[in-house]
Amino acid sequence: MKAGQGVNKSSSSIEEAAFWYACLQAEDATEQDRRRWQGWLDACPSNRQAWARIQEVRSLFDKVPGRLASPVLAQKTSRRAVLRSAVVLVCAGLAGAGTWRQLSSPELHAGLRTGTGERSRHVLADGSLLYLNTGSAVDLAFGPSERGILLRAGEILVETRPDKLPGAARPFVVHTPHGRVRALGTRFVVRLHGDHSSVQVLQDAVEVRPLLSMAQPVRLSEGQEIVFDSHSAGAPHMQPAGAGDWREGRLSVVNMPLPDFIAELSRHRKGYLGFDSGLAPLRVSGVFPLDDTDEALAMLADAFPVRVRSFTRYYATVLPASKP
Amino acid sequence: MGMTEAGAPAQDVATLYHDNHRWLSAWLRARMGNKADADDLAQDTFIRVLCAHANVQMALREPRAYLATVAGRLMANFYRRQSIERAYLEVLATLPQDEIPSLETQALMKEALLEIDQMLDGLGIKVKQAFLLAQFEEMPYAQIAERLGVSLRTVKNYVARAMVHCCEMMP
Repeated sequence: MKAGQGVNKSSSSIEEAAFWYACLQAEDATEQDRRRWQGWLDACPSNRQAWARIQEVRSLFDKVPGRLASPVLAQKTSRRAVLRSAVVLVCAGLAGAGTWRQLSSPELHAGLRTGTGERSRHVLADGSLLYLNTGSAVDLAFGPSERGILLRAGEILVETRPDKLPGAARPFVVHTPHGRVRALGTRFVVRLHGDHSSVQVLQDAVEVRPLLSMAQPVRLSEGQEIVFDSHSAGAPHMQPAGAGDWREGRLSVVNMPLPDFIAELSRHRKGYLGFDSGLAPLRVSGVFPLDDTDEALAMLADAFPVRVRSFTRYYATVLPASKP
Repeated sequence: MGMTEAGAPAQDVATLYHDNHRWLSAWLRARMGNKADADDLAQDTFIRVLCAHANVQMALREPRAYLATVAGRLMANFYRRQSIERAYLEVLATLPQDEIPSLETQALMKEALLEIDQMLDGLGIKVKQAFLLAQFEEMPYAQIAERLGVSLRTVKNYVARAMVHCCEMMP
């Protein structure tokens, strides 16, 4: 508000302006309404000022297509998931500790795998959906007491369905070399890194139990992520934006450090992809196509002060943009 | 840069920082689970405190309680931003490949959305719903009235009230 202006006068002008705005927006606004509004507008300069203020607000709204803005802005704050710390289930035991080895005899199981840059989708016997990200391998181990998946490499997204076996409700469990992830709900991502595993819950909840841990399983809820090795699990924390988007062939990131971004993109690309260490502080945001990593790199070069130098299709480096 | 009466001598500020910086980073990390974000927010918190000269005395008297309050508020904002950014990405991800806007447009729209979200902050749920439907979905008032179970007149009032709020909140 401009200094020296009568605060009451201008704030009531704003109220009047907002009232007119609401009237003219109505589907039943008439020509007469418009004439009366014009009369109000011409009546005094503070009305004009107030109307200009409304136009300013409007022009901010116009920066985003309505269909896109509405669902985003209708978001309720989702702090609960994070600030509430891990809920630990009361029930434990080491009963499952030997499972990985027991289930590991490979000849028993149907194997699924993807190469670099490939992704695949499978409907399992119980109707659950299994998505493999790039460079991943699993064995299926559906038995009488458990619907099991053994993650051998890479990353999977699971969308479980209620068990189809009559009279049974077999738990759905993903095993990694570091422990077991039991579905308490429907949609989650499990990824195998060198010396640890990670889980992201996209919907409902899962229970994570490190292989050798005596502690109770950790319950992880929607929007959370956890890292665990065979001895212990870290604290659940909020997962980064865009988790699980790879299923749609997209890499969605917000403020991701460039080195992480390059590492993520490299998983989907054959050959070497490197970057100049001077670019390490750069942070990347946006949605990138995974099926065409050249295109993703071109988008990066369009939006950030970088350029891509490729020797062959299999050797590319991201460098600082050359000075004009 | 003049030091006001309420301002603290530089060495007090340095002490405040020195004594509490690690503690605050750890406090934030325990809540956020992410070192980089926690460190960023710890830094922001000190900047906030040091810029608010009038409060430095209070910060020096009860440093950790005060820092935790400021940091808590920043953390709430941070998560609100994240939830908006996440929702935005989710919506983008539903667009067909050839309709995905350029990164530059993506970034501009995101900034606008964060700004609009701040502006709408503090509106009642129904007022906000009515406003979003009218403004961004271009839904007729009659339909909004039906959806929210209120009268047509109330919808109009909601839209007007939300607009007043936006005018007041817009920087």
